[in-house]
Amino acid sequence: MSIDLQELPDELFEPLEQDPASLEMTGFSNYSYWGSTLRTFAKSKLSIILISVIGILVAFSFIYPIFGTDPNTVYLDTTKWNQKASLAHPFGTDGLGRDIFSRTWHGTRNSLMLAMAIALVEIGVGTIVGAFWGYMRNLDPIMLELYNIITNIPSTVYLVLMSYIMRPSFVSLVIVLASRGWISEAKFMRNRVLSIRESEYNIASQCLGAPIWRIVLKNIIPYIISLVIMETALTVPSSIGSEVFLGFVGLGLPIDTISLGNLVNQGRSNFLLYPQQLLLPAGVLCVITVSFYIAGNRFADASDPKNHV
Amino acid sequence: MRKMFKRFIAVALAGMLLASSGCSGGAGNGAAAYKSTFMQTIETLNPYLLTGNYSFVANTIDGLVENDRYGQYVPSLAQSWTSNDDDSVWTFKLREGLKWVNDLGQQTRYPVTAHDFVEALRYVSDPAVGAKNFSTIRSVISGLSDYYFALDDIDSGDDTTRTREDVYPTFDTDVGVKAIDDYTLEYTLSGSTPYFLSYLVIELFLPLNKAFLDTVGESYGTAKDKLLYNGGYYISDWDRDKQVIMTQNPYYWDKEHITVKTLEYQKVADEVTGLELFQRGEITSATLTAEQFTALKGTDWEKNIYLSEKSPLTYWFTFNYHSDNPEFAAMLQNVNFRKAILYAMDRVTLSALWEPENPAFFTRNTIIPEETMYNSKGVDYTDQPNLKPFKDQIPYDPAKAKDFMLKAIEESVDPDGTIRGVTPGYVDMLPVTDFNVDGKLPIDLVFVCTQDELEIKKSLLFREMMISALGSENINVILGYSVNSFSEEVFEPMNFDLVDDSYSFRFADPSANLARITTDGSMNEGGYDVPEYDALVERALAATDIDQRYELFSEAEKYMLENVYLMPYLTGGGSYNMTHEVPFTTPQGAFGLSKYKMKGAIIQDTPITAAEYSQRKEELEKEKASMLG
Amino acid sequence: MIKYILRRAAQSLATICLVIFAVFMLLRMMPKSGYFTREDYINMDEGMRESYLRSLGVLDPPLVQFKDFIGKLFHGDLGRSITVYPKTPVLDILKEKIPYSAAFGLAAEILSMTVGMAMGLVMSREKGRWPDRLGTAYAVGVRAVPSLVYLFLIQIWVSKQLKLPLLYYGNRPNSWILPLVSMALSSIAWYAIWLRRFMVDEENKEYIQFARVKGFSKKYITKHHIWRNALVPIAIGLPSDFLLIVSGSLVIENLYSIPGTGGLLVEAIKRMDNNLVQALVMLYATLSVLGVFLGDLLVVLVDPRIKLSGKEA
Repeated sequence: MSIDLQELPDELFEPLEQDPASLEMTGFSNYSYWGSTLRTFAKSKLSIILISVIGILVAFSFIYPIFGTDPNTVYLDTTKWNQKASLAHPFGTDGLGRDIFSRTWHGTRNSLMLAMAIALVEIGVGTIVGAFWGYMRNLDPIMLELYNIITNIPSTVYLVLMSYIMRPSFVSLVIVLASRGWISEAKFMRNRVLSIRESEYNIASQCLGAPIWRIVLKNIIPYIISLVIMETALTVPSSIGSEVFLGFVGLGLPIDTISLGNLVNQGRSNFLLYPQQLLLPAGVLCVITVSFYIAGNRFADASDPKNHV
Repeated sequence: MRKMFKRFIAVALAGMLLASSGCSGGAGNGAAAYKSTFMQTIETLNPYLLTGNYSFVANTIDGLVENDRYGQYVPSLAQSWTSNDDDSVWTFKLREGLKWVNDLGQQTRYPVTAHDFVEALRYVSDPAVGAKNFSTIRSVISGLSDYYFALDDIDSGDDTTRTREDVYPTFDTDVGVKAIDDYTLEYTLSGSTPYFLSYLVIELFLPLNKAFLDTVGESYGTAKDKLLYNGGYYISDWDRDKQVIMTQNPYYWDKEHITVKTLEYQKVADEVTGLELFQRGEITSATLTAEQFTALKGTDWEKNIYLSEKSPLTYWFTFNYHSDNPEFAAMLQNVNFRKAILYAMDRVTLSALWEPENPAFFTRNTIIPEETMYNSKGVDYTDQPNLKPFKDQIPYDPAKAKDFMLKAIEESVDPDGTIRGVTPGYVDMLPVTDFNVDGKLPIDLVFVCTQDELEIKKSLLFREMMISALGSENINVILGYSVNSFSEEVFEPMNFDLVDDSYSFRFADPSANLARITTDGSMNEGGYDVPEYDALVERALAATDIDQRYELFSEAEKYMLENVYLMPYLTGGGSYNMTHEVPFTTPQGAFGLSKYKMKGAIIQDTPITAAEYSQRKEELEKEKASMLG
Repeated sequence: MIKYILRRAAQSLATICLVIFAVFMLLRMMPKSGYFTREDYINMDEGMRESYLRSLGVLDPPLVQFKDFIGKLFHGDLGRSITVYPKTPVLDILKEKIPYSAAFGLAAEILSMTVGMAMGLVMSREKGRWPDRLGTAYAVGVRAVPSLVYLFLIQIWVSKQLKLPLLYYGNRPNSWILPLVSMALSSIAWYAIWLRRFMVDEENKEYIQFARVKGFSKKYITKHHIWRNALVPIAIGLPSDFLLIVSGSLVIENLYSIPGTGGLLVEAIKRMDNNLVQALVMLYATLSVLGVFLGDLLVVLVDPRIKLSGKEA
């Protein structure tokens, strides 16, 4: 069947109004990756609540001094030791009469800063190195050797030796933990990239002659972004956990630094007698780590383009 | 002295009779096993290398003498002994026919003879063995120290003219120990030593079979089958870092007094687990921390908690007289500054960290512990006129402290607050701490301790005490903590202004501690220079009459305390306990290993009560008094 | 392939040697006073300290010590512990301790793999429903709560509720339960969460959608397509996990008084027991190098798309 176009009557057509804006429209949708991610993330109530919780806790740990109790005041009067919770001391006092409430918030601030610092260094370095490592074959032998050397020194040997060399402090703990952690992050990313790089779109890019840096930045990093965020979410709680563990072994932050790790370790020894000295700081610690963990997972889900509508 | 020795024997015999009559009553209903815990890793069972966990060796290897439950020296492997007129030569007659037993409880072919005691001394006096406590005994036996250092000089290359083989034979000729025959042993001492028996309960005097040593070599004491036993028990099981089981030795010379069949010790991580095990009925006795004690108050357990006796261990503070911190170094020369610190320190509150109920009980204000030595009139060494005022008076007085401080400031600080003779600058006490000093008030003071929880609490309290008594305008306490090795980070580089530590008291003479804190003494960690004190000690050491000797020593001690060269403040021992073991049935003694022996122990089904404990204690005191009286 | 393996073996040996030499020299650079405990130090005077150090054999030049160490090593002699268990042959200590850690580690590893993977599978299949939520809550809990807190609670509180012993006893099997479960708790969560994550990720991929379009059942797809891909990242760490069980668990062994290797290394380093540290580092380094190597081989077996870098195209 054929239609004679010439014979179509004019009344079938309507003239279109001239719109300069519509001329600019292209064939692409107005999809914005980060916009969609945030929208998807914000759709979940839980995410919002958790983000608020983190926000409130962080804010509170910075403004707690308005309550006016000093976390370091020691009392020589033994009746002031190990007090139960009261209005003056909402979490009670510890074995020397120090106010646990203010210690908890002080510790929260220190621990969060520590964990964030470690996470930033570790994930930042790890991801970038890992992406290159996974993509460039000739990097592999060198990096693997480096990886083997770093990870083959057992972590306890490494940590104890480092603590011999460096005096325990905030910075040295970040260095000690991150200097070990980044290579594992990189290795993890490398393994992901290894399985990604064989994918078709990558091969297409290569065929089109895209330079390596472009392939890594445009093809690979966005693809593993959900993993990065999830890893960050996991690193914050695990850094806090490492700090608690190192405190247990005696290699944590300086013992006179107030941190959640030090508080938990100090509360542990007389747990049966004064459970609140352990449970209250540990509770705050858990709220923080759980919030980070879940929020991080939600964010990872939201940042996956496949979950964008 | 002979008279005194006879009294020893008389008392000893009486003690044995009493002990045996006491035991026969309870042995019938005693439990078959004593179960307890240990926290410190068992490093070795080599008796000569021990630094803790003495129970295992104490119950499995006997020495020449031991203590009975009154603390008197009674025969063990030695049946009897005599000494010459000035107590410088001691001869021991040994029990005959005894044989060493192995880890299966079988008799070996090795007999226990006087030669075993000679060989033990030969073994520990070889520097290659590395017996850490050798310094305790090296000067008492004649020639022992020379032999040790002759070998040491060869090892270090200082002496290239001789070889070890050249020196070995000199042990038999020059060192004052000799097996006259298989069952007669003679010690020749460096000088008059009436208190020699208190040495013989130290682990370094335990016997060692040479023939067996040759078969195991360097591995001696590193496993249960690398050791031989002659005590009431043999080690039937040693699961490293897990448990030790000791089983009754069927060939023991004093078998009838071994009332408990097995002694079982298991490793626990902390007191929390120990108490739980006790409350669940899995162990015989448990030690409590101050916090656990407070927790149990008001519960059914309260009546079962008793406070064990003080030990002769003394804690004292050491000042660093060569501190890198110029402010402290300058002020420390001023005796009023030292006194200010002494009077500002509240030892009772520090003691409350361990003993919340009656903290004053565990303070000690003298260097030599009380109730360890008595002169011929029965007066306690620390009750002599020179020391009594110190012993009785707890020197905490913030007002007085402030006065001394102001006096010290007046003497050593310019009116504008500049400490005389101090150049401002940077103080490097790394890895412990570092800071800048401005040479002005407040005076910086660095207090260093370990990261142990109680130690940290102590340091925080100490700082609070100083500041509240002396004023933050006058003193600034900097706290430092060692991370790993205290000797490496603190002692050796002298990275402290003030530390405290515990000092054991190893034999029954004031010289045990007082001769070690002289200017050149090994315990002078602070490096003070006290020629007057050295002279006083020199004079006291020369005295052979016990009354005169004690008096001279007390004078020397008084000099140290008066000028506050160091600050004793607490006793060791004395913890809260709960137990099924009837108290005061086993050997007691201030020195050596006897107090760890379980000989004569009676285990009852119900935990003993605090009332029973004090009643038994009273009875013991009475019996003691009647025996001496 | 064989050439690749040989080259990797040589590389691994070099790595191990480097690690040992580094640790050996680091130990020798520590101040000598670290060999004393605080009590030893006070009880000895200067002369005795010197001769004590000599009796430990640490006064020779480091390179001479290293030569001795290597020489003895070829005769299978790891030397004797110097401060932690004075004069006890290192080999004896390891022989006594490793079986405990290995037995517990192996049992815990198997437990956590089976339970964890099963959990992960169920969770991904029931994504968004209560088994998933429950599993996630558990994983989050285990990860978020500091392990010391719940391990301690398990020992003191759970043991009381279930009337289980507080400590480990070799002859009472019911005393093995709590330490075993404590050891497996966190890795169960690890396996579960990873498996779930990967299963969910893979489900969105095109090849799965294609398989679904082809009409395969969900079960078939899970079994033959997703499962294999999801195993890749887990497989890579598997050999290391199994080999390194000999290093034990510091906290749990300490709490339940299991005489394994858990705290040995930290203790040895703190007490500067050179011979013990060297032996342990050598052991752990060897196993860990071997683990990485085997992990890479295993990945090739599981994922044919990944090629060993030895074979250049």
